Amino acid sequence: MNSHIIILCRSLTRTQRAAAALQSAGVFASVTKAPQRANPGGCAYGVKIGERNLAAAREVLRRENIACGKLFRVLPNGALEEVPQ
Amino acid sequence: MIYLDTAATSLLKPETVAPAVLRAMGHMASPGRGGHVPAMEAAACCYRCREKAANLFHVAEPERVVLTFNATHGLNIAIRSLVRPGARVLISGYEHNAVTRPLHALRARLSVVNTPLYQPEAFLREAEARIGRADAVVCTQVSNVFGYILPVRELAALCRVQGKPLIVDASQSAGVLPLDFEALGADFVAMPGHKGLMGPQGTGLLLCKNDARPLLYGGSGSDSRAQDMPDYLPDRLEAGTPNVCGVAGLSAALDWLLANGTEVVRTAEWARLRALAEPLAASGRLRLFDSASEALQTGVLSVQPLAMDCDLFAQALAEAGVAVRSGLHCAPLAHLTAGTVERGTVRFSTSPFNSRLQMARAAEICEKILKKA
Repeated sequence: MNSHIIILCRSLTRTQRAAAALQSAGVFASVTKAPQRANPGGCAYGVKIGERNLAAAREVLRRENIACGKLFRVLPNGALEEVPQ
Repeated sequence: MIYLDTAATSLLKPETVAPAVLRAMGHMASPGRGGHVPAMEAAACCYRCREKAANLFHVAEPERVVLTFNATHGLNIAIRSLVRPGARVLISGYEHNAVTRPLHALRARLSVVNTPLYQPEAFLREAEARIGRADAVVCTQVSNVFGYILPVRELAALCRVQGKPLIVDASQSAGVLPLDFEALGADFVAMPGHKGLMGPQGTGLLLCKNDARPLLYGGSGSDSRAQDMPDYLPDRLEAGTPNVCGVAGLSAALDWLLANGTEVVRTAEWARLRALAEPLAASGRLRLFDSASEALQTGVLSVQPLAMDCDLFAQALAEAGVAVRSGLHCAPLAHLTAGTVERGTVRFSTSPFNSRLQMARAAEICEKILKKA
């Protein structure tokens, strides 16, 4: 498994909206359950994208005015690291 | 059977609705409660439904489309969010119990604009005179008893000028009349999924301009460690597992409406209503509450037999295969305003899926029953 990025959004619906906007812009994105460690507040979802699409994804979300939260990199071994904004 | 009770529930629906419900039953689980395929498919289904509703009603963000179980549920959320106990609330004289009972429970002081049927100018004059003393305004867009189209757009403009919050009950208008939520500027618009939207029973939508107070508290699939409900929409207002099968059906119905447009519904229902109202009026055996104006009335017609009890007439129609609704239609205030509270009325409500032939046949059956009375 390659590393990938999870973009946390504040609700499942916001996550779905972000994923839909990315897909419309040609950025492959899917909705995924976020690891608990990424969101200590409890259950959450995030947008999963390939690492190489991170810059494009940020640009699309900024353009579409879809506010999202923290970004995490999921490494091939399953480790999680926060991506600086 | 000739089904003329669409104002209660749209039995006649686009043919895609029932298969969508069935498919959801077999393939979808709880949205926001897992990452597996059935949970994610349910989540996608709910999202698509919000997105379609946002398109149809011009809501800026799908997050502001809250899935409810009916219009009453949405109205209770809206009223509890905006009306404090004992507050002064301006309402029309045509409100349903879904509005008046929650207000009564809050001991709200009501200012009822009880102007006559089909006189929107009189309504606006009276509303303008009273709105300054109100803390909030609640108004139906269309009377469920008489199909009377109230001037909600103009009322919303008055509310904006006066800085008064507005809740619109779109139970009888959603899917029938155009509705632009952003342009209207209402704080909340509540609607059922099973009437003009032609989705399944047990579904509804609440369009929200701003934040709202939860009516139900419980699991939302989000921020689970917090004991408060999430502070964001739609999670804040959606405690517990939603009616996913119903939402799937509603989503299919919204596809139909988006493809065909509400104008098609409106035109068809009005044409069916005229095809019924004209022979009924000609019979001389009924009092009709008929504006004869498409600008003032939807495809809903109330009547009173001159020589027969309303409920007995409706029962005779049922036995002859015509489904209508009699009584007070859960809207005693509307009957008080129109002067029909003692007898009630018999309500015929049309669907775009009724045929002209059905309307002619229903009129013939009415005549046959009334002749015997």
